[in-house]
Amino acid sequence: MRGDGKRIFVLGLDGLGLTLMEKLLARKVMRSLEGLLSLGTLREMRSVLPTVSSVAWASYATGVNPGKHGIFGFLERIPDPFQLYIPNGSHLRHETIFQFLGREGLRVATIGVPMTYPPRPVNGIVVGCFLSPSLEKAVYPRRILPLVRKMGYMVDVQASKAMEDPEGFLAQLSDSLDARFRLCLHLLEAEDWDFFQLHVMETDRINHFFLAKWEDKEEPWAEMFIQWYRRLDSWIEVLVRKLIHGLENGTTELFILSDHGFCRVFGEVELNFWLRKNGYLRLGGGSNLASMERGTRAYSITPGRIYLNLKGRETMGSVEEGKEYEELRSELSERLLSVEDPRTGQAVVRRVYRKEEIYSGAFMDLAPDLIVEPVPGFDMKARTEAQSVVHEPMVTGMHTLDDAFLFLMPGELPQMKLELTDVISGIARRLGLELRWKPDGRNW
Amino acid sequence: MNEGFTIWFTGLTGAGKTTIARLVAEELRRRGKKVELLDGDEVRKHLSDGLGFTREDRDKNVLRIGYVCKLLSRNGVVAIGAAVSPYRETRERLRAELGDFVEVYVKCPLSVCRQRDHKGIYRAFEEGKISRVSGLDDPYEEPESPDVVLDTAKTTPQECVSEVMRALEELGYVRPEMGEEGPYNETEKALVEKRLSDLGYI
Repeated sequence: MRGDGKRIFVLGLDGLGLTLMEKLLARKVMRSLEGLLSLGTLREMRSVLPTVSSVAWASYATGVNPGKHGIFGFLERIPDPFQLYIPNGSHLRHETIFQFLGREGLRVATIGVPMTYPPRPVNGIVVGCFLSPSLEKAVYPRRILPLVRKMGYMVDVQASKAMEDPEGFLAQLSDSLDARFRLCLHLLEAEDWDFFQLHVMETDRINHFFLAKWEDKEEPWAEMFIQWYRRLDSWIEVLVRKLIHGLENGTTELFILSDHGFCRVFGEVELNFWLRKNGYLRLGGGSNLASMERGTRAYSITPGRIYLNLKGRETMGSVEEGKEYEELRSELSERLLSVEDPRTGQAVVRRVYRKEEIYSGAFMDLAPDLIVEPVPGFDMKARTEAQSVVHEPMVTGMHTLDDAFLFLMPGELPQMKLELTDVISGIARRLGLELRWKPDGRNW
Repeated sequence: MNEGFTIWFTGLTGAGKTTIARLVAEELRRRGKKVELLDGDEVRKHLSDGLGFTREDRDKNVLRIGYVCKLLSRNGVVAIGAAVSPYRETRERLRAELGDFVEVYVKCPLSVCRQRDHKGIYRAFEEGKISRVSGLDDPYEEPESPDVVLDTAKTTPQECVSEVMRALEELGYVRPEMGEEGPYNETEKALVEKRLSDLGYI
């Protein structure tokens, strides 16, 4: 237990890369944020592989790598009998900072943080993430449901609208952002809290569909993109005003972070098509992974995860453990590095990792055998029905491993490029606590 | 993550510690936990045979139970201690030594405990046959910041179990149950899959 009364507010800006943020600041789109950044320290941060929000925020909240928390993507497989499912918070196999702080007697509130659906009861409030099918199932405790509804809160926007009705989609992004901040500002006043985390998901969504249009100066979308970021900036200003007293007298510290960077997509890379074309993957009549045939040696799940069809592990495993497994991993790693975009001859794979190179822990059995890090601009997909290795993208923005950031005020961040797993030990320490587990991230 | 921890029930004789502890143990076993219940009266027959009710002997009994709880919990067992454990300082020592320690104060007015008197302790005291009864001629020091307070004069044992389970869920020791359909029913699963698919995530 601690008693110094210090509080921490964390603002998560999903997928707002450092580069994009700096461009927006340079163009004076986010003046409040610019002013704020001059009052604290900002560092670049590296995300995780695979670079998706579920893995990234699970790694942030636990301070450990996926091998220890068990989340490797938005889709997971049971190898035998083969089945795919969507991992959610109930599959997160490690204690989170939220749970830890609650257990230490601190009041916690989180809004929209990925992997918080289903909401685990906590000493405080949880409004679950976009993996929640409904608002009703997203909130803990139930008493806050009427309030969350009244604020117009949405668990997510409708991404399908982005192409059908881009203007409507942008309006929904604004509505959703407004509701998120309204709810946050209300709870800041109405609830006791020692730790509060507001997650803005809309930054990721707008970047997926409008970043490239902005870069291409495609009007009216480029201007609407800018206007949307101005709106975010206004909310940040309101938020900081609400926190200003604590920030000034040092009783509140503000963390702002993003979980990955963003870039435009030049091509989607279909790893299952490549595996099929090269004889590693054989699909039966069903043309999905459940119809894999005996001769299959490897298959992929989005993004960039490759599993060998290992005997004794997979339904119709064909690859022997040991020498054959290792040789196949080497062969695939080497061949994948030479995959090119046939339109330009450009390499699409930056690096291929063996799982033990980047993961460790009790859940290594869930880890893909190989993890493909793309060249930024080439989004790794795994559609079994694909007709080419590289094709034009459906979604024009993608996540990047580098270019996430962490900002802290007041206070100093260590002088180094940070990892997502570094953050929570700093949070705990600022609250006068030591984590009960050893994070993979560094202590500071 | 080690799944072991200790739940410690403290309260006057007759407050309902053993009853609720047994029900909580049952509920935890139903949820797949390995559980061991160490009841103060039972332990006195074995581990603490010969100890009396002086402060020193009471402390010894409590610390012995606590020690066994520590061994069990570090091996992944949920250890449940149920003993009057009347002294605050001793309970705080347990909390410090055990770490993962959930203190449940089973609160009940002395008058109600005396009415219940299943063990005949209060009657024996009134008849002058025994002394050193907590709450009467020996102090019972209420916990200052227990993790859970159960008012057994006003709530049913089953409600008390729900309160304890909710606290264990909030403290992160036990995962909440999702109901039969789990996080998603078929319609919800399709909805979330579409959401992720529209983003190109799956």
